[in-house]
Amino acid sequence: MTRNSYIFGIGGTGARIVRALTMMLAAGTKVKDTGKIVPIIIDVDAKNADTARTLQALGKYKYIRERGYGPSEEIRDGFFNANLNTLSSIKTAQNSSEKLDDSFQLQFENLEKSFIQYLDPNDELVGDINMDLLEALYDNTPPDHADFHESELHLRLDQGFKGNPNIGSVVFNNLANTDEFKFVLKSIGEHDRIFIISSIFGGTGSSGFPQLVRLLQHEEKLRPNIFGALTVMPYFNVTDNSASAINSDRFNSKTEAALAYYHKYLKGRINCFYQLWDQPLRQYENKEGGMEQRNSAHLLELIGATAVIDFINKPDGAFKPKGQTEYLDFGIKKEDQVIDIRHFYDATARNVMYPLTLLTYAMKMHLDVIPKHRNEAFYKELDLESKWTNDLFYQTLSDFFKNHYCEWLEEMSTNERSFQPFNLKQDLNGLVREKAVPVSRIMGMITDGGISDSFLRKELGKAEDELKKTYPEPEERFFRLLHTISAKCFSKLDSLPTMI
Amino acid sequence: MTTLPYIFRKYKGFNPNEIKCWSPSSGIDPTGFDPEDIAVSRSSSKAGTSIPSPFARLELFDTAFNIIASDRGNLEGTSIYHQLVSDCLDVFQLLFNSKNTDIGFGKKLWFKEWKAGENIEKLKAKGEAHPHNLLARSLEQIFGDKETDRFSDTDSIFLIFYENKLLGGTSPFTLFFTSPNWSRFLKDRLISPHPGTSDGVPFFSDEYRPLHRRDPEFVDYVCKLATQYRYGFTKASSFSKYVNKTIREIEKKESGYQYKFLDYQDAARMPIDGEYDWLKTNLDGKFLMVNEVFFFQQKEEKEKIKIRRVSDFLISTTNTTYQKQVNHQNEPVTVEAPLVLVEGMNIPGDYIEAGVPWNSSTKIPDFLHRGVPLYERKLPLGNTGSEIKYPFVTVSDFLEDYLIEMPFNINAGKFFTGFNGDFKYLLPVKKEYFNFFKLEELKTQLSITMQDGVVSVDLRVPIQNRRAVRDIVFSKKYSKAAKTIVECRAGLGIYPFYQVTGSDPKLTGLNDYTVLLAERNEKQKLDALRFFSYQNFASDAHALSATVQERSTAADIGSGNSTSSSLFFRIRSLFDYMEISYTDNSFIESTGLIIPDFTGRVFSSENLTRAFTFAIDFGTSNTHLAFMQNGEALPKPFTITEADQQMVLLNAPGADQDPVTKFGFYGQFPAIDLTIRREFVPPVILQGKNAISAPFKTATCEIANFNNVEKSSVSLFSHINIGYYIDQEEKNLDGKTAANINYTTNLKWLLENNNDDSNKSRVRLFLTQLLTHIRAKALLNLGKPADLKVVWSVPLSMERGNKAALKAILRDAFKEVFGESGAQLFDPVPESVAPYFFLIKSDADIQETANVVNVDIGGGTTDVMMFMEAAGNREDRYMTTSFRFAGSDIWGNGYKSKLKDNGFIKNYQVYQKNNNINPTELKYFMKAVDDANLNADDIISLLFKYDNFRFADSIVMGNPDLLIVLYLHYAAIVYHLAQLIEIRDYPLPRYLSFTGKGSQYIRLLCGGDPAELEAFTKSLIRAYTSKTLQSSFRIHLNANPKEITANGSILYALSSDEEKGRYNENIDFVHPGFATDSELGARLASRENPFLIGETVKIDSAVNVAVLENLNSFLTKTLANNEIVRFLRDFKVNGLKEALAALAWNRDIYNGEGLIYDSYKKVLQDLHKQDKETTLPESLFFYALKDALYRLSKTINDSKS
Repeated sequence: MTRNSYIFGIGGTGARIVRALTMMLAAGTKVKDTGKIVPIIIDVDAKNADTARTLQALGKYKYIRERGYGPSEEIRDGFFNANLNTLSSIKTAQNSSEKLDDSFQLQFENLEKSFIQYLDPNDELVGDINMDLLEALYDNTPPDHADFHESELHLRLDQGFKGNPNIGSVVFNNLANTDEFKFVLKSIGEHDRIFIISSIFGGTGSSGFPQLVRLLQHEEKLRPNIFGALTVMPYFNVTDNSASAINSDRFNSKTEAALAYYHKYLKGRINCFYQLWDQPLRQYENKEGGMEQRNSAHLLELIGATAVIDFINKPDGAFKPKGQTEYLDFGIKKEDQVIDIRHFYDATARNVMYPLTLLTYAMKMHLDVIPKHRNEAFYKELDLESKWTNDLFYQTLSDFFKNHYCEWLEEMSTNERSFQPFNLKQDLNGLVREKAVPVSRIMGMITDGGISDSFLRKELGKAEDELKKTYPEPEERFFRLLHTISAKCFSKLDSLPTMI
Repeated sequence: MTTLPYIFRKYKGFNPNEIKCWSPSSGIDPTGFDPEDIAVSRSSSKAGTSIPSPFARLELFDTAFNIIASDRGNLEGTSIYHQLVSDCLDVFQLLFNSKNTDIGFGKKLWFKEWKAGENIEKLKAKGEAHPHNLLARSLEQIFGDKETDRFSDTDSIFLIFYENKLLGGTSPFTLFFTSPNWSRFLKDRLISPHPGTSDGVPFFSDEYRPLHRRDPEFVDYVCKLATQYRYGFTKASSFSKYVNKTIREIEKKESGYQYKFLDYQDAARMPIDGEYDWLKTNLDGKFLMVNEVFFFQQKEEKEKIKIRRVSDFLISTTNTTYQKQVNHQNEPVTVEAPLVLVEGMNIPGDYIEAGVPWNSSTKIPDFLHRGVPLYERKLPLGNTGSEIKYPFVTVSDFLEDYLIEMPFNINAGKFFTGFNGDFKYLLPVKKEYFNFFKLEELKTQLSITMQDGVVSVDLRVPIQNRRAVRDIVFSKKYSKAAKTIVECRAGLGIYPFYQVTGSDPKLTGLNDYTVLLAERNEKQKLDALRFFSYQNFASDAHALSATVQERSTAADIGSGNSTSSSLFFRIRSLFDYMEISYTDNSFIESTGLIIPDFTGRVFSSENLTRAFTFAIDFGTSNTHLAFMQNGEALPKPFTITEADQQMVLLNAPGADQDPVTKFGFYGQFPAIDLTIRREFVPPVILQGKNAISAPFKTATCEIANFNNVEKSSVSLFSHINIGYYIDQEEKNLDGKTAANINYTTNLKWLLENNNDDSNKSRVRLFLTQLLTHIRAKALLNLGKPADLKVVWSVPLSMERGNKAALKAILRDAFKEVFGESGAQLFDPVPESVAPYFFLIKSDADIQETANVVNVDIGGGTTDVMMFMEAAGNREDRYMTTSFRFAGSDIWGNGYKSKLKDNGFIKNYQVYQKNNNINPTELKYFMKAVDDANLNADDIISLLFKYDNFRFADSIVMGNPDLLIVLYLHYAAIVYHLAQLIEIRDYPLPRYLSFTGKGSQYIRLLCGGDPAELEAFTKSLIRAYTSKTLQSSFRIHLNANPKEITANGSILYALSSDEEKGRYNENIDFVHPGFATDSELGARLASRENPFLIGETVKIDSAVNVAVLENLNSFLTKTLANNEIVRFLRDFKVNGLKEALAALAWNRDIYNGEGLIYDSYKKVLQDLHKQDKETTLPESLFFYALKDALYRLSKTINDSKS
């Protein structure tokens, strides 16, 4: 029985984790019994660069998968095998003719104004006791005041909620009025799983999360569905800029305040609650969202994405009965400033690190190795000579590897805490950090060069010959080729590095 | 190798060895939060914004309580959670400390009630598309949440407004929360005053305070509330946990505390509302309620009791007057013992909370105390507005802001200055001090030092302090440099200067004071001079009732009529001190205390034991007072000495030995001198040439328009007073006499001649002042009022009606001055009898058993008393007669003339010039001559007063012929005596005695030689009668002739009734003045047919003719008598013949000539104004001489020059 999984990524952190998830799925990470995975990015900050990158990656993934595997939903292995798709791809029984944008994003409208203007555009609340209530609950610092950055009622909504989930929780209710959301409510099936990713220290995420739960569970039929959630607690600081509404000094207290709230209001409403935090080491430049908010990828986002995988893959019977929440924490073997594959326990290594290693080999193949073998038979048979530069599939794939996956890895490796599973600058024998492919020499002569050119040439040819039989479509065959050769590379490695 | 696994989780609640990849763990419980991690900054309260609910703010407070109340939480700390808890408790406590009167729309505190259902419906009603619907939906999610019961019981939220700004509201979780805007309001100082709490820390400050560190009253209240409203507190679970944790904390130090409130579980048994007042909102009287928990306000009384118990700054007083006050509604209020606080003081001790010391940086803003009555004061608390209503006193309560500098050193002997040495400042102590302490304390508590122009005043205010600090010093420094010394040009005198104490109103009724405030202030304007008694509460409202009247004005100074202005304050009750207040040109208000030192002058029935008798001889020209302590041999003239000084000045006296000079010194304020002289009381009255002494001129000094002032409103000093200084008046710098005052003389006869209200008032007030002097003299010499006798005398010649009027006036005056004190005013003693009593009792060597004739010559009247003790067993051996022929008939300006041109004055003016007599007193003479109110004998009186004028020389040496007038005057009296003796057939007396001021001229006769005078007198008697003189005949002249009447009056009053009785019979006799050996004489001798006025109406009547004939006879027997002519020539008196020619009647009765004829006719006219059927009141003999002598003096003077 297959089920769909709806992955709501709220706010910047939500988007970044969906980005990591996209990489992980691109790597072919296994998802069990799952039909479609529908990531839905919800951000009020339409210009957020992190969100934009994620949406691009998702779009490319979707394209690559469709070109690589066609409309089939039965693909269960290989790179890009998971059916990561948009809401519009869902067919609903009641209203199949509904026309939705083919988008991974749910958008708010009319946010180019302050909170109070949003609530009361015609000043009807002036003098009303409801206004007094709002002033008792929200900061009302007027625009001409030195502390205007503290203002809540006068906060412009189109730059995110700037650490003001108390505002977001109200504004979020407007989501319920969008066609997309109404469609979501209709499209989620009896067995579908729902996962909500949010950060707890930001604005959009922490406000959207419980509100989304409320809005979804307001719908009677969705209440039995399995809900999972990931809450990401502070893992970076922002530079001190007291004029900014985001003040990481308050990250901890904000987090705790929100946690306490979740503790009271979400208990029993979420089946699986994934919690994640890391000691903030990196000071991010303080950007209030928009185009400037483009934070480097971080290990924690990768781990966050593994929570989605973990959730999706749990068998139905593994969940606690309705009304109870299982909380999950993530552990590694050891704390270090630089994390690599060795730090992870077996399951993660097997389910996540292994596919990522394959994808990294594949990336290397695709970007470095294959173009060097244009004279080989497999190259010609796949008509790569012309397609490599002219076919959008290959171009997109190249782009994905180069501008998304590789960049993602590089960002993580330079972030703090650093995640460096691969030595991207070294040759293929040294690609996996802390475990090089051995090169055998006898009396100074190389007897086994590891992942050598000759090895690759031979294996590529061999694989093309094999795959031709099964996969007539060149795009899928190319996927398989990449996967096969990557597996061959891994076989040279023998196993992932581990701690002694 | 062992390495620790790493878990991506911050909070406790997991086993790290079990977490591998994603592994089941535990949810993060807020109790795991570490409150100390959290950055400390007030704006961190925005942390609440990360709670995804519009009610995030309420959740945040809940979280804070949860964290602090958790096992890991520490009740004390500086985290944001501690701040939130503290803020919530601040609201809670603020409401607890509020007063019912603080609550109401627009007042300090008010409420709005936000009703959930109603408002959500209202917002929804706009339709689904309306943006309000979004808010409605958000609120509905909270209030309609079925999954949790967080808001399930909450129908409404009360919004709390403080000083018209939204402070916060009620919360089902933590009972209260603050608005995120509140800290901004405080920061922007939009909330004034800053709210504060009872233990010296402002509310909502950066000093976070846990519950157990708060006012125990408040802590107990919270605990009781939590016990009584168990259900409501269960809903507010985090708050409850916090309370429980607090109780455990307190239990550590106060064993048993956890069981203290068990009884409150049963509201029926221990209802909390018995101990507190319900907190009622402004919303239709609705009570404030959260989760069915009601709230209360602390009863003010409890708070006060606590402070009284705890504080180390409680004042320690010796006077409890401050405790009972009345508020603005005139309701009595009880005032607690105030705390003594000085801004910046660094004194160990708990302030108002056990264990919480006073913070030396605590400001004591003026608005907390200046102008705020003690019972409305709130204690200063840090930099906040205060909510603790409890009185305190600080420096400005007891010490003035400005020091008043007087132009003289303060009279330290009679006033408390607070300084040991010369000190020219008024006491800068506020009268309110005396609500707490007595003067004795002030003397020890106050210390004043002066250095380099800075006057430092320290007042040590005792406190009850457990750290052995005995007092708190209130300090002020005053200097001209700092403009805190204000110069005042004023002087002040208090009359009389004593106090009568005790419970007997008859005695205390004698407290009757007049205070002169003389000013020459150009820069200061008097606000008030108030009088206070230690008996009363010291406040402006309790100033003693006093009247004030301005006499000399600033305009009078301007016009040169006065040297200072004068205000007269009259206080008819005991006062202990005065407070004087000024405002200067720059509106600086200054106030000072004047505390008389009545040491040795406080009288009561305890020490007033002596018996005194005083006598008033109210004479036409002069008045004498005499007194005697009963039991002494002889009376004494009235004096005011330094020891019994009646009027005391604020300025220190001079250093001179001579009391007159000593008390005529006023430091740098001589301007007061003239004012005192004219309008007030001499500092001393002494026997001596320089001093004002008794007898003194019978004169008043009045305001210029005294006649025009309604007489019911005139009073002593403010309008009129005794003109003691009439003989020391001089012209002002412009050569003018003062236009604002008048001296009036001849008072006694003014009554008779012009019996109008003004004259009555003059006499009444003159006598009143005399009586006040008597009163003061008696008291200051420990005289018991009930044993005080005042006697007085009237001349027999005074008309019966006038006598009655004078008696009534004196009686009224006496009543006013002595009230019910028991002092007795005797009936008047006949002036003629009085001197005899003195003469026979003094050492005058007059035998009581011999025949004595005493002639008492006054200014206007001569009284003759004949005591013919040796005349056999006659019933009528006593005889008295009186006639208006006396001193002023020599020295005056004739009969009803206004001119001051008698021969003596004219002669003196020439003599003075010719002999270059220019004494300093000449200015008095110059002024008196020009003063239209003074007459000739006032001037002669002045000339006699000062030896330096050499007035006697001007007559005796300058123009002895003028002495004829004196000899004639004397001779006329002797002549009349002879005729009286003959008609009564008495023997000639053995002693002829002269008393009375008017008799002084006799000393000018015969070169002042008594033997010659006796010889001369014998010659006269021989010329006038055939009766024979005893060889032991003596003339007796008295050194102080004026005093004898008064002295005699005293002795008369003290004599036995039997003795007095002798003279009670009708002994009056009038000899009309014709020759005894005439037909008329026979009729007179028979005493059967009294002569009536009517018999003189026709000028040619037998009586008139006989009198004039008798006068001619007298003149001839005198001026043409060879023996006499020779005698007088020996004394260089010539011109007797000329005098006779000028005087003698030419015997034409209708159109006669001669000075005596003119005089007689003139005076007779006035007699005829009386009832014609009336018996002749006096001898007609002297009518002929009254105007004649004046004219003779002029003639003699004219003839010489």
